[in-house]
Amino acid sequence: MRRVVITGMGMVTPVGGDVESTWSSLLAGQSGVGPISLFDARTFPTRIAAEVKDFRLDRYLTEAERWAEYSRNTRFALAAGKLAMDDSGLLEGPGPADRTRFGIYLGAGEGQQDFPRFVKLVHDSGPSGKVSTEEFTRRGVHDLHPLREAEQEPGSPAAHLASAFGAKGPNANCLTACAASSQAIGEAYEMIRHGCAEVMLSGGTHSMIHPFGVTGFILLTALSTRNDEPEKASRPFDRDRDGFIIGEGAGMVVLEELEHAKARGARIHGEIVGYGSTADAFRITDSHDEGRGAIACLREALADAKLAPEEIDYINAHGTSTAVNDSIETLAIKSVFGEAAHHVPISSTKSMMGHLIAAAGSVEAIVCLLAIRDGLLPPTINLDNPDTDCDLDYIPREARRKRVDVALSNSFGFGGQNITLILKRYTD
Amino acid sequence: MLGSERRVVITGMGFVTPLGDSPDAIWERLAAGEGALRRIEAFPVAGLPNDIVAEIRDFNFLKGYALPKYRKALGKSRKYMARDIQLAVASAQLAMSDAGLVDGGVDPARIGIDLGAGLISTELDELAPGIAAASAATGVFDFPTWGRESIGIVEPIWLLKYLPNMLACHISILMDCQGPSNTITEADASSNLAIAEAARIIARGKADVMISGGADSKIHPLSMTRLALYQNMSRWEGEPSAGLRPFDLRRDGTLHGEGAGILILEEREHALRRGARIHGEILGAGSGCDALPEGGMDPRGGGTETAIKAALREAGLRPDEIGHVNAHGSGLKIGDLAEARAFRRVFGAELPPVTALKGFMGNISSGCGAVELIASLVGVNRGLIPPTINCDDPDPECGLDLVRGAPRPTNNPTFVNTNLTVNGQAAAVIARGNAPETAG
Repeated sequence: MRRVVITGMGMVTPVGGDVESTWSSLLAGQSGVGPISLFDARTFPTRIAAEVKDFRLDRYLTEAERWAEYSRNTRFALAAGKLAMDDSGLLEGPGPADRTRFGIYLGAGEGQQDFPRFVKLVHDSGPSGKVSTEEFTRRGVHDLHPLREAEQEPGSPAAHLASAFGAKGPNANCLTACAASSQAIGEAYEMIRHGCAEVMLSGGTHSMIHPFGVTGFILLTALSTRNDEPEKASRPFDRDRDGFIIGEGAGMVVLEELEHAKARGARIHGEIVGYGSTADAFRITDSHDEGRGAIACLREALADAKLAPEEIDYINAHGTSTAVNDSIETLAIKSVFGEAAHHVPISSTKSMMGHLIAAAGSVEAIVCLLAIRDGLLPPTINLDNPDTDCDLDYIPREARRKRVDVALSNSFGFGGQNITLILKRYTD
Repeated sequence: MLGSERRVVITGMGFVTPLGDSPDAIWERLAAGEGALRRIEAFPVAGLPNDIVAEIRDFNFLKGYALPKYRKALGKSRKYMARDIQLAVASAQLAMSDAGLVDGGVDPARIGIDLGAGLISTELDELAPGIAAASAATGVFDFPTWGRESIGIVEPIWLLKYLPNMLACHISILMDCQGPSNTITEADASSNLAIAEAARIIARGKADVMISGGADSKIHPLSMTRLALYQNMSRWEGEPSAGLRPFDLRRDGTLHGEGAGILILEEREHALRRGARIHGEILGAGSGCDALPEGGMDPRGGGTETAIKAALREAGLRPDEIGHVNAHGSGLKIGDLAEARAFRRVFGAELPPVTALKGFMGNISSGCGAVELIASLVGVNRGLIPPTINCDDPDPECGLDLVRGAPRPTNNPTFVNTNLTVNGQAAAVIARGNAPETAG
């Protein structure tokens, strides 16, 4: 079987504009959560989020002007993609050997509704609260903005990255809620492994910090309402957790077939060795109450990697800070790892970055690669009083030094999609 | 095939389309050249280049499609389902019935789902009261009022009705599918990409059965407005049924359809062991992208060329072994030309007959690849290639051998099904009907 290594990493997160600044913030236990500034959320039940600060695409791309009107998702993706491509060295010299064997697989979220134009159009065509579809279409063709509408298509960023970086090969986007970008990396790994491509730029991008996104999660009672203490609001595994915090950003990795990477002398950050994908088949809103899908997913990834639980040195948990997720995830880890569950350090970096939804898994996979590189584990901040059923080692409050050869990352999506990735230090 | 010893066969087909929901029903319409494009009935529109769509007018989710064992559960969960989701769930039941898997026959851990789904537009009247309340005072939307009052009058599960992964989630919950689950959201290429991925998941041994395909309904005021905004809506002024004209000289845009197509893919030995009826086999798939730096697709069709070549390679087939091409043919000036150029480059002198079915059903977007693949499969299993309608004057610049007006006999059941997004993202799947079993 062909081996798949990571030769490029890039990210834009609420705690840093690139990989190294994000990493040092995470190791320092810095929270990226604060009051929402992207729109006026002062009266919303939840008015805090983890926003990407001072984002300027021209810091990443020389041709930033061309993308000025594009969605936040697209611009985050281009920034993180450029960082990853630069890091891989594929933008210098001849680049990938065959551009039709260089593809894109993203787990990008839907773009934001063009809020001001959309609500005005709905109101103008239905001031009483019932829309006249004739009025809506008649006005809409003049009042809506073509690009702003097109940019809501979740498949658009994958095309933009393909054109920006000359990827003529396979092109896909999956959207499985909070599991999307881990799943994209997993499927891109399988594509290389089974010979469909040599190089894949993969990852995710998403911002749901917009009025409808925040409204939707408020209605599902999924968000923390700890508005007065934003930095303490995301507290995975803590007994006082009360929901997740929406984050935003993008994480991108360059996956490459090992021989292709070696032939061009690429620097290798690590290897993907395990991928699990299962469904809870339980409820659209809740995880299975005994963690059935998560357990099967962890087992599948370990089997794929041919590794025993004792060989996992670090787990980057899905750890959303919702009551259900953190308990069920703990249960699943214990069920699969047995005694080893009590010895493996686990942390949730969502305690600092919030939940990047579709983009979460890709950013967290990069965190695993950095843990392997530096022998440092980022903490779970705000874990002051572990919940009674959350009784594992979650690296509370402070980063820790530990050699990591193998790291595991979980992502569980609304609707019951479970993804586990296992990343390993590269050795010949 | 698919880089594996494990072969992937098709043991079930289920679909709900503007042409009907059974092989006999859609074949009757396809063979007779009777398309479904009509003036819209679902809601009135104004100010658009036209009002032609291909609707499913008598879709009754519970009465028409709910199997007795699922009726109670679906009666409850229906309120969480946008129309796209209902079309997919209905089709999945038809497909699983066709495959003989409704009452077991596969380990729940070994059956997964991989679907194509679209950007689902919210029902406007679910948000309009809240927006009206937030805009009442001054006529301009007021955020503080939205936060204080409007959020409370939106349905609590609003978000979940429109998440594209909910097609797969509802099916997995209903049918206890605990294997891999994915949802591809890449517009018109979605369901071909999903079918390709599902087949590979079986080939690499991660599942024995996959429910795959896709669904979409863009018959929605916002979706239709968008198509017009992008300047991609056909401006046809003649008979509505002739409004979408694949590869025709007078083509000037596309039109929306709606529907779902679901295939049950199964590892061949698994299917043979349980005595399943086999409709065909997935042989290979490929994908490519020719998005231009300035945006949009490349009129030279490089993405489609890459996709078909990769699919041929994966299938271990030569171009001259392909019996026909089921093209995307959405009626866009540039899109159809790009595809035609790609076909000519890939196949050269061996160019097989080409058909395109959107003249019948409109563009079912994220579901089109699955529905069109099924239509070709239904055709080749009758020894016929389904025809293209509304291509009265084939564009000489396209230079294709189009199957026009009536089905064309064929004794080659192997075909390529291709789709292409407006961004130049292309996906191809090669399938073979069950006609003369060949060695392999």
